[in-house]
Amino acid sequence: MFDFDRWAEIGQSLKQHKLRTALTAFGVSWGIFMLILLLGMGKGLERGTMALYQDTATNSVWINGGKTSQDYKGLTPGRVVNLDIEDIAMLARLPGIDLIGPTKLVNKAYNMQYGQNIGSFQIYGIAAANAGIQKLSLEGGRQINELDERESRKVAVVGTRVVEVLMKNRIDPLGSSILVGGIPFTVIGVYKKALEEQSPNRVYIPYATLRNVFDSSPYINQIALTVAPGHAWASIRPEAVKLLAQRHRFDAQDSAALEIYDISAEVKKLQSLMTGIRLFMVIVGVGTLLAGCVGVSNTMLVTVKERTREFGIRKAIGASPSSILFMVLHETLAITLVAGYLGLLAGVGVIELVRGIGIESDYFRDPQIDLPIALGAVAVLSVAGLIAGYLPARQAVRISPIEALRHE
Amino acid sequence: MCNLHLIHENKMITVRNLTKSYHVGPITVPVLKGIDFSVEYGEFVAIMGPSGSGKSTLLNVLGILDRYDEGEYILNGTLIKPLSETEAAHFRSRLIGFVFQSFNLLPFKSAIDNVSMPLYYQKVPRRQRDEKARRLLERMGLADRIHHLPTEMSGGQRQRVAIARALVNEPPLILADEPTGNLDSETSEDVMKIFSEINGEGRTLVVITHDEHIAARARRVIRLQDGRITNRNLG
Repeated sequence: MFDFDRWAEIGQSLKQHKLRTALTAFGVSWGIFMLILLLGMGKGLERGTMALYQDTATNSVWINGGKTSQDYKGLTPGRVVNLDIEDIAMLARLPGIDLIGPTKLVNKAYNMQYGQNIGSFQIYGIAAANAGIQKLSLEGGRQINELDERESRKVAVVGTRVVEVLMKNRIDPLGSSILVGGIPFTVIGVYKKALEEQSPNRVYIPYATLRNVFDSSPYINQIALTVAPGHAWASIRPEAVKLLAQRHRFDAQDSAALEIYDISAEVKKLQSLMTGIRLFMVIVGVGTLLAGCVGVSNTMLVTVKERTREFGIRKAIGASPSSILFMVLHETLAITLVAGYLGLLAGVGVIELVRGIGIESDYFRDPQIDLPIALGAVAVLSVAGLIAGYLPARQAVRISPIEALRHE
Repeated sequence: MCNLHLIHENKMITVRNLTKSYHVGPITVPVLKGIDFSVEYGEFVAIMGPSGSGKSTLLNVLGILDRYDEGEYILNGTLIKPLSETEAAHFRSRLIGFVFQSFNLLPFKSAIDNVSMPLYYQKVPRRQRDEKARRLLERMGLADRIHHLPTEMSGGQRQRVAIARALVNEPPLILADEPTGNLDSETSEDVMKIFSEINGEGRTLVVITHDEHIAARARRVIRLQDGRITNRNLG
């Protein structure tokens, strides 16, 4: 129940020691503030890092051709392994492979034109399957599909930078025609603004179209695939490497012949790193809270010592020991709750500010604090403050009124 | 309350063969060496004696601020044996008003808040507390000092605030420990007038004093020396 008199007493007593109250409150606020910042920024770090992989299926594997480093059947090392479109069909037959498609970058920049605007961009050829592997999300329009591929349609999905340069962001790019190396292509989709190095400068067209129009060689840059649910790349890999080794004539044990990136392994590494960071943050957070608690209990010790005479007077005029005990505990609680709440507010405020300004980098974005965690921290601090205040308060109450009244 | 015994004794205070010692390390210092006296309802008793005679200790025992070793102390028909702090607080709150030499006002509380505090511990609602405290302060001639802090008042005014505080819960017994010890003679006279008035209302008054003038106002003087009453015939 809300006891106005009790709160009036507390207010009066806290006002009585403004500096000390302020310092204790600051200690508590600071502890909570730092904890909130720590947790919020940690979340930002986690999100930023995970965002590096947001455009890629986490079960995807990327295979590039490398350079052989071992002799094989009389062939000397140092040969370049050129993956080609046949490899796709061959690997697609392996059990456990879900989606598979090529990525081909035409090895020169093409001029693209829309009206009077000209820009130089890179052309990527991909298959319909790639949309599911790379997971580049669209701002509008659609991905390249099977039909585009089958009919070698002259359609393009472009990055935001392309829209910026060619259309000056003034017209809806969807459905408009751009000239790619002099050949008209219809824009069917625009990729969402993503991380700088990934897509804004790219123009994606169907692989079949690319072969027909720009580069008829069968060679591709990369094989992109996803592993079907219930399968692991580790068990598919030996067979896949063996097939590629036979076809391109290199030793299957030659690790330099292929460059294979298994995203799931990368993600796993990152996740364990995040677990480590989270653990670290919990330890630092608990430490911060502990420091706050020590501060509170320290202050309560001093407070109680200083107010011995006051307690003596109160007792002489009829205060029961428990009423004094509760008064001290109430004060502790009031300080920690109010200060904790202010610290919480400040911490959340700073985090929201960071979000508002939009500070973002490769490893940091969208910091956030879980409210239950924040409130939990304040609660823990309050309980700890109560425990910390209890012992000195008990001691104060035990002093006989005579001794207390003599205290100066 | 199992250690309270109601005794049919028609006196405010009855003390029999009361002893108390202080223990300073291994040394035991006897302070009260067998005190016998009683105080009737409505009596005004002064306790006099040199420093170290044990009069403050006696008053503390009477006020249940301190314990005694041997003997009996019967307050308002109740044998006061060693009590828990909570029980002691209860008796102090209902039966006794204290006036101290050094006033013992809470420095951060205004006159009215100081006076009404005992009622706060009796859980009297604020409006009633303030009303009662205001009336008492007015009676003490402090109508214009009601919201002043103790530091903004003279010694005499402070002591009158303290007396108002002692009276606010209408205790039958007022205990005063050198209430004029820190006051000049003129202010002392005012304070003692107030005490006489209070006594005139039927409250029992036990006052420790050095001042023969003040003792002269009392109906009876108990003289204490070296832990014993020296004017036993009057006790």
